[in-house]
Amino acid sequence: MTSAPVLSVRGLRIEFPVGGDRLVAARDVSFELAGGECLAIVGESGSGKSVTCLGLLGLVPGQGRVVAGEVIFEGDDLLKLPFEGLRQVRGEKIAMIFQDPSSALNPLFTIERQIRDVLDVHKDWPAKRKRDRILEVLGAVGFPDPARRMKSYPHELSGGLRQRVAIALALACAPRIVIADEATTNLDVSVQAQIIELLVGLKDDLEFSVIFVTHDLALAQHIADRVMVMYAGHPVEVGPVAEVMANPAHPYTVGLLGSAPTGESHRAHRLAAIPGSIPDLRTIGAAAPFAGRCPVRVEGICDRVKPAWTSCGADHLVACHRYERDGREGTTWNR
Amino acid sequence: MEPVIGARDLEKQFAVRGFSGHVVPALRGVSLDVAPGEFVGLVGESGCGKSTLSRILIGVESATSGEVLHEGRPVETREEWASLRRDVQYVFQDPYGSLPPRMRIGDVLTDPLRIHGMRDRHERAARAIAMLQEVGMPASAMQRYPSAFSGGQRQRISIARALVLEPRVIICDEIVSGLDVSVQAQVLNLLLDLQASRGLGVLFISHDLRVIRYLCSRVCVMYLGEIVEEGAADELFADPQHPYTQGLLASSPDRAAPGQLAARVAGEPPSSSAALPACPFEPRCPRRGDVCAVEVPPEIRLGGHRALCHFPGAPATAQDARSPITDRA
Repeated sequence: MTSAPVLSVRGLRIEFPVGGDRLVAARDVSFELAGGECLAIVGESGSGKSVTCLGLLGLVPGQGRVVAGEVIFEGDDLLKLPFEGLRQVRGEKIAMIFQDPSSALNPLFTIERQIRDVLDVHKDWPAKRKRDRILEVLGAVGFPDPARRMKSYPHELSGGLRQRVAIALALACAPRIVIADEATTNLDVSVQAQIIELLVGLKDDLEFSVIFVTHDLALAQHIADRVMVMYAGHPVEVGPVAEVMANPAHPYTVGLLGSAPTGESHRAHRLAAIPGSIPDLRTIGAAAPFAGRCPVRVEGICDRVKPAWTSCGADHLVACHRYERDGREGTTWNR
Repeated sequence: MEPVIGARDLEKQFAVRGFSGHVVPALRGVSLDVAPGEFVGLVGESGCGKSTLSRILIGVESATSGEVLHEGRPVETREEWASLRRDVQYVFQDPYGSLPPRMRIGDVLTDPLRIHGMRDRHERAARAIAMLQEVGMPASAMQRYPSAFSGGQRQRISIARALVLEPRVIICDEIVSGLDVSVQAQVLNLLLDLQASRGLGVLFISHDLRVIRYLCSRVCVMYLGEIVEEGAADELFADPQHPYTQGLLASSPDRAAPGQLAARVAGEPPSSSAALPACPFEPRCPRRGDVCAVEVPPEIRLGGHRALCHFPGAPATAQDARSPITDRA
């Protein structure tokens, strides 16, 4: 976890044309991912967390384009690689686990066939070796009786098993980075706990790095080392996960933690909801992204100028005008 | 206070299409009450029968056997169901699918009033506007279509629609699971405000223990069509008796210390058409004994708290927490 970064992303900007307008889905996203590290990207819908991950691999859907930034992986800028080069990276060195395992798996092919497809694209191995590898990864993800059940089709498996297969697919080529995009969101809590336990174990054994995208900060602390909080396409706070949970600096992070039920009754602790709802991304322009909902915005500044990064602890950064002026006292609005 | 709505020994079996005689038991003897002003949480994983139960309670689905009670009396005739529906309304999970896209919010809110016999158009509009304001929406929303609103706002409108007939209880089926956390808290607090201002009772169905803990004073834990544990929320969360409840709590991300999320419930719920052992949780249970597969678990009572289990009590120890899957295979 202390080694040089395996991935470094700088100034990533992703836009979608909407009517005559341009919607900036991710703006100035920069982060580094160390070997064996797990970075959680946390945010609500429309925060740009998923599109950022897709952007890393040149997979932005539809009319969307990465218009600025660089993604340095093993010395190459992935955004400048030709299609064939990118194809070598996708699935082999950087793999993804998607939210919905039933649509990530092809209903027409057996589990075995789908994993072999990945190996066929990336590995020039004899059939026997591929078969061994399939059994090996299925075993690693806790798929019961792989030799027999790898012949099953996705519909024959439960949701939790399908997600295990999706993880096996991602691990087939022993990637250096696994991107898990809301990989446990649709699962029941008991199964979610199993999958998190599995991912943590695999990450430590196989020493890959993880980008774990989630909307649940409480869940992030069970897997991540560091967390990047995003709001409306902008990263607003980055730091070690325990530090961010204990001492949030950005008013949005403060609000997110304050509005999540903590396992206490409302009689003991009433949740402080963040007023308003997520803004239209086209309307943010030059303002601080959270200004429209922020209970402690600095009038005349937050709606005009984007805040720069400020250090607010060891390895902990925040982008907030209020924090710059008044520190944590100023941004802890719901106390 | 006398419960507004109740269920007694509800059983529901769904026939499997194309396999005559094959049935899937969705509910297996469920009893439940909701009193005015009471928030009852119904928690369980997907497929456990939570939604089937709630649909039977408002008469959208009919039970195979058992009774639905309205103010203590069994509901049978058409008139009795109509009167129940004035007292008990339903809020759906999907804030997008549950509001008709081509209908103005004003019509969405006044239609129930018209159907239930309020003749005066102006009176209907006035009631609808008052209701919108009570859920924190502006009166101008009356003229607009659902597409103009965000998920959280739509869920407020759905709650307003349910409340416009002034029911005494509403059934909320996973109404916050599609919402972002910051907006979810707004909706939860709205329900608490309505409880305080109107004495509203809620049957709150969710898979999220954190939300249930926050809102509810009484909790029912459901597993495969059965309420396996029920009690006052404070007692049940402080001292859960059933291993399934204990497992759910251990799997809930906020309860565990960082990095200590315990996957204590192994495996997944079996396919609903499979034959079940006497205790349906037996195959996944970290504490099961020989008796569990063959003998229906007894109901144990502990203060205001009951559970169905042969081995109730303290959570499983590390030794208990072996994986039932591996040691069976």
